[in-house]
Amino acid sequence: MNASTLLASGGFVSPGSHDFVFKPLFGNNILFTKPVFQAILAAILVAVFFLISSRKAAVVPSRTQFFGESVYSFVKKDLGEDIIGHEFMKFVPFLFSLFTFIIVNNIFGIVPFMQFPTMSRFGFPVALMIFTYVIYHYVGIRKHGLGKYLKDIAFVPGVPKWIYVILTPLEIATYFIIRPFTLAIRLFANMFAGHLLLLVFIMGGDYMLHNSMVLKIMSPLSFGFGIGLTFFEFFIECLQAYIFTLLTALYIAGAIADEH
Amino acid sequence: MSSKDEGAMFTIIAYLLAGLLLWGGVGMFLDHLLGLHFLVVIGFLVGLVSAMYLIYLRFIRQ
Amino acid sequence: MTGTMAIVGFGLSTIGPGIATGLVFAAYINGVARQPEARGILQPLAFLGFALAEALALLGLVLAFVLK
Repeated sequence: MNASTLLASGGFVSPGSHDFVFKPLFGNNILFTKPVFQAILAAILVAVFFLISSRKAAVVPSRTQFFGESVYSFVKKDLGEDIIGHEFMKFVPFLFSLFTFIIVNNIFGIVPFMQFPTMSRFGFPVALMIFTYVIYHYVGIRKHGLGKYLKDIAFVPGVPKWIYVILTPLEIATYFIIRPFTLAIRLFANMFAGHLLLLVFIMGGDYMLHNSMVLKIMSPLSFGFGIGLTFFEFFIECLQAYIFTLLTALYIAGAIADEH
Repeated sequence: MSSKDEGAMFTIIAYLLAGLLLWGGVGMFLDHLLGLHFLVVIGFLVGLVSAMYLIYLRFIRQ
Repeated sequence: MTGTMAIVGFGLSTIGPGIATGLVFAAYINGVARQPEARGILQPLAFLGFALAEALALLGLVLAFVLK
């Protein structure tokens, strides 16, 4: 992370989970660290940008309005209408804020001077996952009633009775534990691994640059990989925001579908 | 590949993981309780087969 | 260096399923592109192949944590 300590210690300190721990920004208040600041900043950025882009809505759109509207219509059509079906409109605000919030937070991973994807701290994806979890079970229960909703989840039709002993715990575990957690872990692990990968190449290149002649010649290769992987990370960051929102929409669609 | 297919893929992974963790965990717990060593393997196999059967029931049998 | 060889084993065990999943979906996309009406027949087969391949990868993941 900083070259001076690297040089002082002599050996190469490989990046690890210690690079994801931040000191509190003000005093000893552990609630306010860099990731928290980034999350708040992302919320403000998203809100301000879409307020500006929609405030002076005109028939001939300005550039900001066009951009805002194309993001909105992408979420509304591709993630709402195509997946959830005719009741999609009441979920669009949630999906839209989820998508824009995650994508801004992820892109902070490659913005200069921030360079830390907020979602690589596990708490943030878990918080978003809890929103998704509560919403899709709530709409499912309200649509079908508690008994029928649980019966649809737990009992697959058309198998002998004794097999339910094995299958029902599996269904319950999948719907209530594994699926929400894989949702959070997928976002977290992609951001964590991506940030770690960038750290390895940039810090490795930095270390080689301050070392013997042979390593000095090799170091541009490492920096080149770092730059290439930064573009790759940009792609992954957009893709993971899309996938998180897509899976949220799919879970909601599955919860309010007429039969599973 | 529509979005529904992607959802099915992620659900398949979730089923397999749930089967392995749940029944493997039960096997591990019984191993711990009874002082045996092989029940965890049986748990994994049961979990894998039951998850496969569930995937067959949910996605393959139309 | 510290760590367990189990994680290396997990890394090795993902190579095969990775290639297999790629092959399964490549064949599925090819089939649907050539004959879109065959989708209903091909889709369950693709899911079956995907599930069988993915089971090995997840087995590797779980065993890496169990066989420390």
